[in-house]
Amino acid sequence: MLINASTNQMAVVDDAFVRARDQERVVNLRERRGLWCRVLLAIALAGPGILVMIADNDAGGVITYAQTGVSYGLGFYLPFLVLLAPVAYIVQEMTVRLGAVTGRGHAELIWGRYGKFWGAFSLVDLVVANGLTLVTEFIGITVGSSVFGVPALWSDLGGVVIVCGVLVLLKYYTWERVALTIAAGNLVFVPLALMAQPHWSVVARAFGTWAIPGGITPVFLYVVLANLGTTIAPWMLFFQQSSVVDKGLTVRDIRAGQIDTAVGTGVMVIVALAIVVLTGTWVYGSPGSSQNMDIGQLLTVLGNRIGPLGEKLFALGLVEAGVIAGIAITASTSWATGEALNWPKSLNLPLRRAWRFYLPGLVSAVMAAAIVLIPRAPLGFLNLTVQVVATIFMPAAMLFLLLLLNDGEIMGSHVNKPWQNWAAGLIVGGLVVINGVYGLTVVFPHIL
Amino acid sequence: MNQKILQAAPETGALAPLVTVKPRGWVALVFWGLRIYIAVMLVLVVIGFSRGIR
Repeated sequence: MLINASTNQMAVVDDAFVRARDQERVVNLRERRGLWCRVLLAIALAGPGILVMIADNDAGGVITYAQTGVSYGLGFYLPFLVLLAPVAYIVQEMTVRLGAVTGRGHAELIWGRYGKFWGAFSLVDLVVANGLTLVTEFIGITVGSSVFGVPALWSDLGGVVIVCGVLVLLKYYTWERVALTIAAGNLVFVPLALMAQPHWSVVARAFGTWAIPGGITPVFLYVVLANLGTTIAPWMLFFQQSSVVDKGLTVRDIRAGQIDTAVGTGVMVIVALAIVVLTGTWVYGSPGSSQNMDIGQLLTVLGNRIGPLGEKLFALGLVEAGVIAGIAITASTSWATGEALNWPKSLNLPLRRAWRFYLPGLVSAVMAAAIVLIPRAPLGFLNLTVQVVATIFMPAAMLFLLLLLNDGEIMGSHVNKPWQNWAAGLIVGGLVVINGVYGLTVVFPHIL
Repeated sequence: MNQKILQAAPETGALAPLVTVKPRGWVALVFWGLRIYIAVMLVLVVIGFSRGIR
């Protein structure tokens, strides 16, 4: 017990020292004058918001957006995705304030404020959902890498090495900079969309008419729900708040965190639109295309339509999406477990002192990578289970967020303003209804 | 600790332990609504899986 307490205390001191250095970097930049220093300050404070939003365009998200374009072309989903931007921003901005004001992660607040039952419920849901989501990330990595002739075993192994290595070997600041560099690869879909040379008049008309090819059908509603589910996921709430805390952001940095989140939201939506425009222009309605195409078939059709360079760029984007989401989700798992179980919980900690912190993230990554390699593994069933878990978990996670942000004892003067409660309340209410309907359609596919 | 850090983050240091609250009033209603939602969804999931979903 004494040894564990001493090790914990040393770990906390290590973490505080490194975080203090990170904060000193920000303080120094804040004191200096000049445009260049302002730019460097903005770059130093950016990170959690951009990372969470770009990691949201994960392998599963890329596949969802691509299939949306294949199924519905350039229509309803373009303005719909833009509409999701303020929804995502409002939700994620709340985690910035919560983390910066309390200095605690989401899992820690739920466990500490609402007790062991809800704490354990949230932790188990998050860890299970994260683990299953990681399977889709490694699927994306292996499918994308296969375009370059890399066997699944090697790309899978490479993905594990990168994801686990980044988690274990890098302290927070470097981890964040490396992740942001990888995240920049998400933008590859934008020049691809431009290469598709879409009819911009058709794109503009989509925003004016919100046209739904084929009308409102059960499949249409299913795709709406899938797009919504891929834009706002439970891990995002936990990840951004933990990231804000580990980065050492304080009340003074809330505005910067909000801007960081807004920039991330913008990039996320632009990339999502680019993917829909790309497949909506080149694959929708073309010979060989169908609504039930898997990602391998989609890559083949893209290759036939826009040439090998386009196919390789799309595949590269898919690999990047899997890697960046893998990095974010493993960190989210480790942070949440450490917070809930009151372990030292920071990427600034060395492995030998905080192996319990790193272990959940590492185990989940290795298990997910292993599952992908199992012949005839029920990947469809696993993906279904992720959707079901998210359906049950997301409204709960959102409700806890709302309750905590109205808790005067922990938020002080930074509690939600009335308009924020109205906006968040509408979003939570909408999510409960939509997630409920989504859960029904997943469990009873013929209900609509 | 560096004085600049203390100025920037006066709350740096060990955080006070969180106090578990017992939900009252509308918060208690929210928690009951959540329990009902989760229970209903779990029942639907069990029914759906027992019927064999694709």
